[in-house]
Amino acid sequence: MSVPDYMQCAEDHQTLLVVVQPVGIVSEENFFRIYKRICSVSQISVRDSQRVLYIRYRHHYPPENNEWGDFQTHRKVVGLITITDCFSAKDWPQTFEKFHVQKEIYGSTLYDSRLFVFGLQGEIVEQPRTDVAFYPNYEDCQTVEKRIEDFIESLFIVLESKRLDRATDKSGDKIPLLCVPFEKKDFVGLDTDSRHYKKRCQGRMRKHVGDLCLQAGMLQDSLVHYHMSVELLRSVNDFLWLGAALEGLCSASVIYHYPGGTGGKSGARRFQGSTLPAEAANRHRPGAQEVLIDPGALTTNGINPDTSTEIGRAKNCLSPEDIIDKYKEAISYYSKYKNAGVIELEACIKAVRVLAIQKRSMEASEFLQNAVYINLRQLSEEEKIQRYSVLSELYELIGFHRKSAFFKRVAAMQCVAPSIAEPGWRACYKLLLETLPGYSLSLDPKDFSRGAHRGWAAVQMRLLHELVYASRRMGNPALSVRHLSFLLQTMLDFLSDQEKKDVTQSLENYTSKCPGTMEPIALRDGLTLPPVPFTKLPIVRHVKLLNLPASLRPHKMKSLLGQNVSTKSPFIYSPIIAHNRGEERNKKIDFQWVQGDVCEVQLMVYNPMPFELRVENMGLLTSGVEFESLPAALSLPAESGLYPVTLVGVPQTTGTITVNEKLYGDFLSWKLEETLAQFPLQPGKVATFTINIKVKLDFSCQENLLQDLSDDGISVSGFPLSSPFRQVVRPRVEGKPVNPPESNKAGDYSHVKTLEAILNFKYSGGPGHTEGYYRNLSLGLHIEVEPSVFFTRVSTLPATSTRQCHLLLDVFNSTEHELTISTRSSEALILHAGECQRMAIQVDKFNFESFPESPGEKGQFANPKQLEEERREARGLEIHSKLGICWRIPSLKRSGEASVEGLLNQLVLEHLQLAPLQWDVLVDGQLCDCESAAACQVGDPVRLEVRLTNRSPRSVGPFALTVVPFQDHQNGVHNYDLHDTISFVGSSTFYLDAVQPSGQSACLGALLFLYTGDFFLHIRFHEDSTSKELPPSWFCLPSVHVRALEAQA
Amino acid sequence: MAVCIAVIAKENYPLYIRSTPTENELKFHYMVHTSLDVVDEKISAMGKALVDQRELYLGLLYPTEDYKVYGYVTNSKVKFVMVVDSSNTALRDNEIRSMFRKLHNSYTDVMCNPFYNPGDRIQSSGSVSLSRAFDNMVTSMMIQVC
Repeated sequence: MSVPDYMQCAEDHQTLLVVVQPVGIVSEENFFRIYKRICSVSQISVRDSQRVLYIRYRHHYPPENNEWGDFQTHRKVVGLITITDCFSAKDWPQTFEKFHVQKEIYGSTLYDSRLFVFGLQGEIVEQPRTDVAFYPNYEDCQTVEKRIEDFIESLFIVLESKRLDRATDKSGDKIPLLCVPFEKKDFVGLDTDSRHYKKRCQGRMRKHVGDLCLQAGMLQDSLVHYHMSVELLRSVNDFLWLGAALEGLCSASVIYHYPGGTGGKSGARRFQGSTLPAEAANRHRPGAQEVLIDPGALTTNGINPDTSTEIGRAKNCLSPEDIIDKYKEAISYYSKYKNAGVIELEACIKAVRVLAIQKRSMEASEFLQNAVYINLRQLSEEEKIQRYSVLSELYELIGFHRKSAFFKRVAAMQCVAPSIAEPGWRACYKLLLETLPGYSLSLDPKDFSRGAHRGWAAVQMRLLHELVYASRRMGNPALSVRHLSFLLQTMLDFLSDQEKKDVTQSLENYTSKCPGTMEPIALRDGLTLPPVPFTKLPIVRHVKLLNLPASLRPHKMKSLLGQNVSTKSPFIYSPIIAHNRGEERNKKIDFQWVQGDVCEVQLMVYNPMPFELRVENMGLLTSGVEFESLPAALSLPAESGLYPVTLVGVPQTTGTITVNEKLYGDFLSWKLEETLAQFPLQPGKVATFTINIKVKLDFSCQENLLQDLSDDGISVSGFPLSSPFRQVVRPRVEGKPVNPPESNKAGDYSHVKTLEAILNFKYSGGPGHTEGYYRNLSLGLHIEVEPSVFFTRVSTLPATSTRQCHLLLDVFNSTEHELTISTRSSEALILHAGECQRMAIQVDKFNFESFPESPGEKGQFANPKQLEEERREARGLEIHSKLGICWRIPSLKRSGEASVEGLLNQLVLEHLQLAPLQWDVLVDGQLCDCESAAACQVGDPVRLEVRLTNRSPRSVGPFALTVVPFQDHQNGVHNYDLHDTISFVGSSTFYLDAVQPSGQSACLGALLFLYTGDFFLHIRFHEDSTSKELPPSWFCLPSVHVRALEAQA
Repeated sequence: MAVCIAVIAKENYPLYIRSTPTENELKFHYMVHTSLDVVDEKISAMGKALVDQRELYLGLLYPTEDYKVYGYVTNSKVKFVMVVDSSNTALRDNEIRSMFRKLHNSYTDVMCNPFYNPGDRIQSSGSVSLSRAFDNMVTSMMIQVC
């Protein structure tokens, strides 16, 4: 016996072996159709008894195994069913002959046989035969099952008769010696009359009867027979058969304890009746009771001192623990015989199955370990594969997954052993795949992405190499590419430099024929191989998500304090929540990307591989958000240093935008309402926001009198920083580098000013708005201001009226265009490029003292200097608004105001100021301050009154005034010698008393014109000490022009 | 002496494995890997016992034709597996036990090194000097003739 049945299990001992075979030419399909139907009749409840027969069908059974049928009757072929095609009566005798030949093979052991003939019709069919059944074809054969049942019943009759025959044959006189094939020669010439021999014969026969009882469904009887047999055989040291008897005992006990079976393949094998307690069966066999033997007495140690454990259970049946002990013992006996290797091996397997059910993995592994070392004859390659596969399955059964994987892998390797002519790469690959769980290897790279590698890298790597090789030999390069990529990706840390080189080299070779894809590969047995992105190559040292440019950065809208928090906490402020927020921020990146905007990630990569790395499709892998990644490609030299790469991507979607913030400004002005009316802004639309820029500038010339003014005195400075949105307003004088040869050029005044401002727009819209985000767009405004005109010189000339004066301005056009300059009162003056002209403006003098105190005066904070500063500014503004000097460049359509306030110095200001002492001269009761002459008649005395109003804060005077008349000849000659033409009525000298502040005083006199003519009166102050304290401009009296006319008749 | 010594993490991946250079290294990988089945089984059987009474030494895991595989498990479920030549009859249980104890002590030293990350492979080539000490100890166990 040389062919082990690796699928055997303990309950097979109770089955009857029936071989089903085709005779002649029967198609495999038809045969297995019938075979399957036959196999369905695997258990038969025997008529008139509660016994059940179990049938084991085989379509192939080596005859040499049949020879061991006496040793264990379930190995004996007791039934033969042949299936044949026969289409004509002519062929029938030949077919029938073949059936007989087939019967001969198992002839010695057969109880009965059947022949199923398909296709034959005619008179032969009409003859009723028990051993032959005719069917017209493979479809029309409903009675097959019935036929089989009948057949099994006939088998049962033979079995039962044999059992009774052997069981009752107790005399022992003529008991034949049953033996296994290899024993036959050993017993030649043995004394058959010896007591020893007889006992041996008895013992073996008992064992045989036990087998028959078990097959006939009499479990209890079989147990009894086995016990007796053990007893007998032990006494004569017939170890092989002792082993068999013990194993029989085990089998019967297993059948009793585990009605579900141990093989796992036929769980519903027994029907309910069979699980009846053994006592029920015994009732039908009263004779069985008489031979009860305490199994405790059957241990090798002799009588078991403690029988109490036996109480309460079927007495002859072994306990689950005993089963294993007995198996062990049986196997140890078997192992004494080299020729019983298959029996030993099968016993081991059966024991393992029992132990697996008992969940005693350690002991099971010992049995298996033993099975591994049982040396059978030279096995064929196929048998080796089968053997390793079964070992793997058994290890799996007892939960030794690693060991199982090991043997499966050995089996896989066996499939492609060099000695095999046609290596089964496909089978090898399939088996290798099955080992994956045993090596804790999943082919999904995602399982490796988290944390460090957790697995037995050396064996996993080996397996992957084998998968790669097998899939390649199998002719599936796509698979090998996938496996190889996986190997490189997941095992990178464990590959040596040489291995890295080799793996990538072969990957390159493979991909040149079959490019790698990013599609999952589905295998036939439902396994899918996910794509393998090379996320580890090149090695990324540093990942930096680049924030959006400041203008595109989203901000969380400021909400009232606690609006978010209050939902989570009853406290307005809780440090715990704040802390949590901080932690969250640590985990995530503390800025946001925005849908639809290009995002950038900067990576520092390096290539650790000893060869150049060409990265062709490098992209961002994201989760959670729909993300369009724009792949990049690069090439990294071997063992490169850090190499920065920027990857970009765009999160998807758009929305409408609304502006919800306002701005305020100073030199910039706008009307936000006009722009806001265009919102919300639909996608693709443009809104225009107009900003007017108005800048103040110093129009004075650098070499002028204004040099003494410091820079911060320039009127541009001092923007109130009150607007919260104005971040930087920084006026500065940019001293343009003046190159010496160009210094004479007209445009070289370094009065170019640079102004900077930042416009902050806050806007929001779309989904971001609903989530409370806005964006801050900062637009920098850079303004360079150049004056178009310069006032190079300023001076005043007194006007004819004391209340007015002439302001003389030298205006220089620094632009390259024609420019007009105009004032409120005068005509426009045209200035060509680079031209300088003087313009005179007649201005009313200003009464600065009458200004209300500056609003900038903030009590004690204002120091005198500041006050003075403010006052000056106020004056400047006043003058500026009075003058209204505007420039215009018609060609550029630009215009602006030219302010003079910056260039009016103290001196000029004093001239422009109304004196605090107001002198009024009245001629004939009429105020004369203008150009027009006062008219009077010759001969009539004219009243002259000088009136002083003191507006200064102190008292002035007394003053002495002398009136000096003269005539202007209009040729530069003033004639003062007018004693004979004008006479004074009274004194020509007037006296004024001291005048209190805001007081008034007047002095009167009279003149008499003797001749007609134009006369001027010059009123002079007498030079005395009192008047010297006061500025001379205060004593500016208007000159009086009197025209004396001929007296009317 | 020992032909292969392995330290296996709680998660059943090798922290350290060293075998005699004359033999096929992969063979020992397979041998130690499959022995984990037995270790797992023994640990699960032991699980019911009280922790302080637990025997760390697992004894013979399984014999092969040429070798015997012994196991030892720490309380933190780190496993030590030692493969010895089965022809070496001088090695009895007590010797194996003491070797495991030495191994355990040495491993504890490695763990005490603040520069060692628990769970990392114990590499002899690494900059961690204590792992060198561990390596030397293993070497002594593999060379030492009993």
